[in-house]
Amino acid sequence: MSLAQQDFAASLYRNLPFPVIVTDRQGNTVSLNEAAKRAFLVSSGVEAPVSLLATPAEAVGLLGRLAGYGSEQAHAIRFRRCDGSEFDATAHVISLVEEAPAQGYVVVLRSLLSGGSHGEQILMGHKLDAALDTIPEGFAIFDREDDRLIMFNKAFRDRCGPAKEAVRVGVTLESIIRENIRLGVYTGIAEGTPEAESWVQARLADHRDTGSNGIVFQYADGRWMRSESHLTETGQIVALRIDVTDVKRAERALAEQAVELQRKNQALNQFNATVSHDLKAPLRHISMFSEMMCDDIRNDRLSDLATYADHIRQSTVRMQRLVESLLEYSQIAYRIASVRRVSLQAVVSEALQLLEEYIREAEAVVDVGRLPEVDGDPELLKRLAQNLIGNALKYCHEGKKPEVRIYGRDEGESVEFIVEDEGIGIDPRYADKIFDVFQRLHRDESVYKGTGVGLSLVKRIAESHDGEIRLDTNYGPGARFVVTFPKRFMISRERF
Amino acid sequence: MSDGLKKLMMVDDDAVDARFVSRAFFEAGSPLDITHVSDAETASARLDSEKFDYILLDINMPGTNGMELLRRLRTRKRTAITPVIMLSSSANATDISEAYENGANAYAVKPSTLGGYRAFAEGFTRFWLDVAVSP
Repeated sequence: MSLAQQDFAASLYRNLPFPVIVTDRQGNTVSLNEAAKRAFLVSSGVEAPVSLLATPAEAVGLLGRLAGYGSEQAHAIRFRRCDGSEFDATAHVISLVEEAPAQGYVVVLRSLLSGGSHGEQILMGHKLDAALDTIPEGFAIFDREDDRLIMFNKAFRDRCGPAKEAVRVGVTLESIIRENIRLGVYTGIAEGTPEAESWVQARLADHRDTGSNGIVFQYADGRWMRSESHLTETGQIVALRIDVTDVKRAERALAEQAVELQRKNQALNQFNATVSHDLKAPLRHISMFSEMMCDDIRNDRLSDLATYADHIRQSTVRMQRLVESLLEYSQIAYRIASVRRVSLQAVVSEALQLLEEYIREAEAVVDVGRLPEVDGDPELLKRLAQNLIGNALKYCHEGKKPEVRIYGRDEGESVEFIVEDEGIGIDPRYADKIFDVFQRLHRDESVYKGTGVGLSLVKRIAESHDGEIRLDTNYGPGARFVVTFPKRFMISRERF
Repeated sequence: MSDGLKKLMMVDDDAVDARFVSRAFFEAGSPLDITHVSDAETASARLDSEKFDYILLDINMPGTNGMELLRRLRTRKRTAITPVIMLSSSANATDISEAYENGANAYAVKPSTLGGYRAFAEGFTRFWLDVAVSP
């Protein structure tokens, strides 16, 4: 090297805006340029410190290994300033002599990852860090070879759970996962168990799988996160931690809506089928009997006319009742309830008031026990009670006074509302069917009047309160209906 | 059967409809012994022990419906191949194809005129009694 070249090299070294350190084989500092002196707070009169690495004991191995990757690669290294403070920076490590063993190393700092600025380039890195910290999604860069953290933003650190205190440049992803296991973050996974080992391996495999769309999992307080890994052109893994709680909730709301829609469609199909059948029968009868009346009048046969007319009248009465029930069903079936705290005790006494006349006429004995409170629509719940109690009164043995018992039961997360009677009972075979629209088990309306809408209405109301109704088939010989309500309930629309 | 009338069981919960059918067969002069049963379970029990030549079956009935009874009848030796003719108020395509899939021999929609019932009874008699060969 000529003198001019040497001067040029020395000047470049001195004035380079990047901090540059020259070390010996053991990693002890031999020389620093001006930028490095500023970065490491070396006062000009003081001798260069023995080592500027935070872990001098590992320096030999670390520098040798990093230099082995080639001078193009930058690595995250933790340094220590002269005042003892530490900072992380990415740096290139270059062997002084290319053949092994190395005579020493040149360490060129590129960008600062934490703990203050030094040099323009590092300042730029700092600005970038500050900018990344403003992003609400977790962002980190990992070394692909050993899963060490090269850089991360604030959101990434926050999303590492309780282990976030341990998150810093240079730590491995594995150590973060293990720290969380130690702190008991994952339910059912205890430190030192085979489950813990397979958990660690599974998380690392997810992290290294840069081809997939990532995985979605639940964390803290019912929030959801998507974890993605991407491979950069320079061979690092970019890890993203994206909060997808809103998406997840929207998905769930959509799924709930789909279920509700399916329920409505089913009800509508059933409605169509039954309307076409049950309304058609009386219509057909009216048509037939009026035709028969015409025929008879034309032929001067008058003896059966009154019977035919009576049939027509009965058919119209039945049709009218069907239409009224249908209207009631369709109004209630699709109504979204306004929810408040409702005392079933009050609901039942109101329902009994509406049935008062009937109870008096039938000389029924109605026994009302203690009833719980539920969240719901008082008007709909009254209809539910009215229908159940009405059925209990209606389906009694001829000539026998109806006996009805109404009471509640606390089942922990839910409450039960029970209506039982000593009446004719229901064949267990029809335990489900009775809740379909227009299903009647007794066609003879002269004994048991009804259109077959009542129980389907009750079921619909119970379901709209997130509850359910069943016939207790173990009970007999009368019927016992059990309605289960959740203790707390909010309508879907308000849930999110 | 050589000793007289062919036996028809009519399963229908609607007593008025059953009367229309009986009346139409009577007016058509059909040589049939008609038994009316108003629910599927009674019909099921009776068909298990008694031989009928034809079964006229409604679909929509309280309790066990006609489609369920049809399926049950087809699994039993005695009624596995007995001609079953569906007579329902449903003109629903699903009901119709389901009935044939379950082994019904014919499907007719309940008429709403006297003429319709007459045509049904006459057609039934002409085909099932005069033309078709019984199993």
